[in-house]
Amino acid sequence: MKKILLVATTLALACGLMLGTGSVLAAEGGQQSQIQTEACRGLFGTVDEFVLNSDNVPVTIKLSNVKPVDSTADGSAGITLTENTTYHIPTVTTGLTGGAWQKWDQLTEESQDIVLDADRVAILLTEPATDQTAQKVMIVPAKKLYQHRYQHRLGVVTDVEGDTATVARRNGEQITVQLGEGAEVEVGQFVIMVTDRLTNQTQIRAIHSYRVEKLIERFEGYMEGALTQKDFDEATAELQAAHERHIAIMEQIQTKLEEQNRTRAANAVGTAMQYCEARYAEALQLRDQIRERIEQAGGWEEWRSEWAEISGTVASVNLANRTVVIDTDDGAVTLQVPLRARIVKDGNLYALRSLEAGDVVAKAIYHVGTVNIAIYIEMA
Amino acid sequence: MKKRLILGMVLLTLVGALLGLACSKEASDTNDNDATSLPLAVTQPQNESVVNTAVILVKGTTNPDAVVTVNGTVADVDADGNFSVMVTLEEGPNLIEVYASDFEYREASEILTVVYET
Repeated sequence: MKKILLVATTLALACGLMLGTGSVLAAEGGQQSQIQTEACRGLFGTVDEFVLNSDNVPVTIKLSNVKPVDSTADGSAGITLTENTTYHIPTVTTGLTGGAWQKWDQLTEESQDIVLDADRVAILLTEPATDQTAQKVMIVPAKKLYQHRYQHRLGVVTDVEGDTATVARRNGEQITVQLGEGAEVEVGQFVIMVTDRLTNQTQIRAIHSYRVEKLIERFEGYMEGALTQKDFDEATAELQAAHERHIAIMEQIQTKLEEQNRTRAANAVGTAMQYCEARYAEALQLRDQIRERIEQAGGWEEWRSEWAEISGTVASVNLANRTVVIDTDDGAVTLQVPLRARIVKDGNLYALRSLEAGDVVAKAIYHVGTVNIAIYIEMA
Repeated sequence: MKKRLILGMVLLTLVGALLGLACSKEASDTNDNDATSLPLAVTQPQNESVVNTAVILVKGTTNPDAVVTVNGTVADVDADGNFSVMVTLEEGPNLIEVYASDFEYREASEILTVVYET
């Protein structure tokens, strides 16, 4: 036992010695390197120390782990702070508390403490950067501690009066919000409310039809574009699962409202559910139509032979009848582009109106027929 | 001596357990939504980058059914879960808050810091 104690004590002493030595070395190596390039005025760094003057005002900030990595020779820097340096603490210094950017003497004592306790900062240097003087210092919030400025709240609209709407959340809570300019909602719509915690302003954006339409359109597109029975079955199964999850959430909200005897609100949710069921039924009709088409074609193999792939250059776009003419090596091909067709460039979804004559089409997949119907257009 | 050591270890274990409990309680108190989170990856811009254009493209991926806001602006999410939105920066350090939520009350967020230098 004595031996164990001896080993433990030795280890503790060794750790202490290493720590002590490390801090001495760090203190001795406190000479920060120079900013190497005049062009780079933006940098990030971990705060090692704020050097304060006799009035307890910071005059220098010593940084390590500086980014961009090539801005200093050894990743450390000593930045001068002046009376003109402004500070920003996200969600703390705001327009409501004297401005987002405040000079040291404008900060409250609490804000000054937050600055002095900062772990990492983002800095804009004055010109030239080699002067190493901070124009702006922002405290980089730790992700775990950061309270997001914008919050999402989902709910169902249960009442609309003038420019206000009442929204029921899953827990049955009803919130009355001011509708922003251009925001139109109807009773029964599923909406997302984006709340700005700082200003306490709530934007409301109707997304019920957006989301349900989008969800179902996506699966309709998958079903339309399926070239095997497996793809088709998977798309159908996913559509059903998504629909069931959606309805389950609305049932939950409705039950809560009924428990609270909020009959009108509960009925509004019922309306939303009816809408979803109706749209889902339309998607199922389309599924049956596709199934019939494949049977008429003689099976999946024959169905696949009805599809083609081309590449070329956009010759013209007609937004009125949603067609695009693509010049290929084998001549011009006119494609009908339904709303559910996907137009993609650099991984982003594009609208038909964004295509122009001369744009290069890397790949267009379409169903060959008297009218060629595109399901996918990938721009180069 | 042996007894003291055992007692010490038991006490330390208890303190650890209490701390663990306190942390998990705090986590559950602050999250009033479901515990599961959405996948969310912001692919552009890189965190802690310096840019020299006032308007930048914020891009990323999440679930196709998610709603994404970037600094409070709702971004369109395509069928593959890709989203992109242009963000206007002010000169100096800027915080970009990307927040995603879906129909099942799942949430995810990312915060990025970029410096715009003129």
